[in-house]
Amino acid sequence: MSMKTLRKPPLESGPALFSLIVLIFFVIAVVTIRHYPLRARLFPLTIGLPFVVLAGYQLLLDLRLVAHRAPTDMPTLRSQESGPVLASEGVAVIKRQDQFKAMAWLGAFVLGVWWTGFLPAIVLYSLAYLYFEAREPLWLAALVAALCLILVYGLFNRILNVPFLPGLLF
Amino acid sequence: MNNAKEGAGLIPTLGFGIPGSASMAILLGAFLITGITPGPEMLTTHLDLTFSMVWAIVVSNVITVAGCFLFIRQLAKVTFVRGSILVPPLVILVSLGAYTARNTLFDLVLMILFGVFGWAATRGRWPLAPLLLGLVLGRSAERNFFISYSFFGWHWLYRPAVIVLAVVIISALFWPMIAARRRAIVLNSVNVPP
Repeated sequence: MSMKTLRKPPLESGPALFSLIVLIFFVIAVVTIRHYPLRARLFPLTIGLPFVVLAGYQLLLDLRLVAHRAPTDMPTLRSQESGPVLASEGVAVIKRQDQFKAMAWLGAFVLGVWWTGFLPAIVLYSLAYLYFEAREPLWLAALVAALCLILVYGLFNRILNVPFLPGLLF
Repeated sequence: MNNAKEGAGLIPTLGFGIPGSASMAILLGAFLITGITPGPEMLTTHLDLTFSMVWAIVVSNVITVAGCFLFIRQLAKVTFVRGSILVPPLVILVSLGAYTARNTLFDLVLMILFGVFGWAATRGRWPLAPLLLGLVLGRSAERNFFISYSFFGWHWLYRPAVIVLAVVIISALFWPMIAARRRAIVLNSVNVPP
């Protein structure tokens, strides 16, 4: 048996870390809204106080998962197998590096919109993503970019009259 | 099947303001943005609006069935399009969806921030559907909660309907834990050697 198969599985510390962040956020929120007027604090406190208790309990469960390294058998407040978790199935099978790449490209598109405006950013983003990231041939990248431009300019700008902000550069 | 569930999901969405599915929660959000308040009024004063939605679903189903019969072979080929080619149009449409809410660049930044939050929540195994429901229903829940508190104080908590709803909510909250415990006990009893 090779060394690779003997290695222990990595610790599942992500859920505990996220639960801790949520707990800290809600504790700060509850402490902050204590001195608000009645109408402003009534609903947030009614939601916030039970949530702090539940988030604390969830954190304890997650920490127990980390300690025991047995993530499948533990009871949890979240109904992972039956609850409607939006778009989680796809994320689970995508490598973390690819997830960061996807977010970076999304950020690049928003930066492009900020600097060049919507229409140039659409062309630049489509071309750059398809040619450099997806390794598609240049003619296909240009075709998709042109179709996207026609769709956005024709439908959103001309027919629906959505005003596009000008970019910083042009 | 996907089309069939939309009509059923529309009933609690319009009648009670409770979305029947994630897509209905998004529709409910759109209602609130455009000033439409779901509830009993949708079946009385705004019945015309409700029937327009019902007919929209009926007509769209007829069009969908006709389209599928005519173009099913061509439509099936869409599933063979590489995912990478779909990324730019999807990113552009998602960004436009965020931008057209108020036509500001800030909404695009918000989209990214909530995207990062959604990614972190998914990695942390926190389901996102309750957050969506909270965002959609929060405003009307807060308004009605304050009205109830103003009229009755905390005595509204003793009303039978409230007690029944509380029991249902608490049961739904703790049922996954109880079910997991029961499964673990059953597994242990099966694995114990005679």
